[in-house]
Amino acid sequence: MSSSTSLAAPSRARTLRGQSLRDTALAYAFSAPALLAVIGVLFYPIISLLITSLYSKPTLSRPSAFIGLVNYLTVLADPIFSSAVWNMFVWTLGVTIGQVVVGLYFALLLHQRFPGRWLARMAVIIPWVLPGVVVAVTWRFMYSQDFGLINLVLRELGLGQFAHAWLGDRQTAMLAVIVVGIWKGFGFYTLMFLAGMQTIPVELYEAAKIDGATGRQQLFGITLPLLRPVMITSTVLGLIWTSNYFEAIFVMTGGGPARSTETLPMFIYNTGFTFYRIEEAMAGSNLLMLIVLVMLGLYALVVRAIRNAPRAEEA
Amino acid sequence: MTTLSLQRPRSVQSWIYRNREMAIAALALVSIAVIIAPALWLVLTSFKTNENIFVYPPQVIPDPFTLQNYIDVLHQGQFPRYLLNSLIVSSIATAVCLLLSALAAYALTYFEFPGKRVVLAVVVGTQFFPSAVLLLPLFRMWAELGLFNTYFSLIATYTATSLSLCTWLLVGFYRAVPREVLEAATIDGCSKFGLLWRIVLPLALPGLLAGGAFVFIGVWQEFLLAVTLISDPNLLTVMVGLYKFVGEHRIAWNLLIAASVVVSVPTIIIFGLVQRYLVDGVTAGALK
Repeated sequence: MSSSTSLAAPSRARTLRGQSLRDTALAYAFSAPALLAVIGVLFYPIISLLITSLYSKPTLSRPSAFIGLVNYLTVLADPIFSSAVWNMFVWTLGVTIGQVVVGLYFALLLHQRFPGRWLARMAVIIPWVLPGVVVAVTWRFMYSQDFGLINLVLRELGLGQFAHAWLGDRQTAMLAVIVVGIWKGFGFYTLMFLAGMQTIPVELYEAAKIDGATGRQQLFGITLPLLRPVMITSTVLGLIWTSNYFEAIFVMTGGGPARSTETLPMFIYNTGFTFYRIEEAMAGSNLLMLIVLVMLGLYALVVRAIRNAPRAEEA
Repeated sequence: MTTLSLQRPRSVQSWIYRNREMAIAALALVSIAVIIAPALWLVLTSFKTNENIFVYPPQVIPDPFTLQNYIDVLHQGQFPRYLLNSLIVSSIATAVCLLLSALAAYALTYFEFPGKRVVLAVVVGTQFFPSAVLLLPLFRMWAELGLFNTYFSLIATYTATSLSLCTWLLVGFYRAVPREVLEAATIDGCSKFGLLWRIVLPLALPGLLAGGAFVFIGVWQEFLLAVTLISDPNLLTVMVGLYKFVGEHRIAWNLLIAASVVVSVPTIIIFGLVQRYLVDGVTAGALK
């Protein structure tokens, strides 16, 4: 990474040892405040929670005792937990697929040359830059039964029989929040894909045109294959974010109705802060941490594989 | 008849071919309109009177056009207080985060030292900690320290969660500082600290501004940690304030919508200003 950019290049290597020791001390001094903040505010509480989760809750008659994985077994046996994991899976898959498809559509569209493109490029990321709570408010308004825009449009189109409380119905609530998730986040993929497309050499397209390739052939022969590394890395990153993103769900449904939109993060919040079942929430939180770490490992593997793969242009 | 119907699509096709740019512009206009519609609807609604929000058939253009919702939300109730709280928390967290990451990025860019990889891993790794896994640990820690319901706990939390993004962004900008300039300054007897203060920071000023903008916006928008760590009605941030609006038994939609537009304005402005660093900001460290 930054190992090659050091100023302590060859000339410095031969200087006095005292100098390099002083530099090392300086480097530690420079990075210490940030390091302490991260360790103290992020790592310490997480590790502390991990340890506490292995102990029973102290009561008046009984002090806290080591109980191993009992809290974990309790939460794993909870059917609500399983359904939360399932909901997280459905939510993550639905939102990510939708975001990649819509994101790619807009990237391809906005990569074309047309009058007003700069304006379109700014407008398309508006949902992505809006605060999550505002997005949730917007869509609660959009989805509301009597005066929401969606039902109004349905009634105008003569499809009034489909108009209903989208967020209040177990059958449609998950679909409704997934649509919001897609709307909120597809801009990330559009940005990434647009940036990726700019690195594709124009000569490739010119050569393809000379060879008589159609637009579709250029898309499937050049654009998409060369975009693949960007697509894979941003999708894995998106999976980590989306699976843990529950701000919009929190504000729109709180996990309801009847827990039909309760993903794992929402379950942890509700269990810990609504029902005060702290032990179970702690175990759930640590299991989510485990899932995140596994996904991060996957992400690191993917990034490494792509970096080591032969460059597509050379192939 | 048959020749005509065969002719027509061909002429449409050739028109599209001749006016390709206009056709794409039209497609883009429609697509963007669909995407923007909910946000646009919200903004239009914010200028309607409370009765007109619920009329059928719905008004598209507010008539009468009114600013009353904005006046009310900015003068009544707790909303101004929430705005102030968010401003305080976001500004201080941004300043502290910039200071810490400016120093850390300097060490990570220009020094070789044992344990550098560990420092890198610790700083980069936290970028991916979702707030979902931080809620319970942080709630417990701040409560045990007796700092639950304080600006301090919120500011410290946001500083720590923003550090990795900001540091990574700055490392990118520091690396772009020409090496010759640094070497010349070193030969002239500039100390390591002088290098940072007199050469690196001024040259990386756009990076500091972009980093500061991202941290500020990130903190301004944050909801989950804020709703978990603060329950005192006087200390709530704007996003939690908005959520309290939603939770009320009868939602005052006119005020809620005006408030939503108000809190989005800083976000939109700042994102507009740092637009060209957007991709760097999102992917700082992530795709390298």
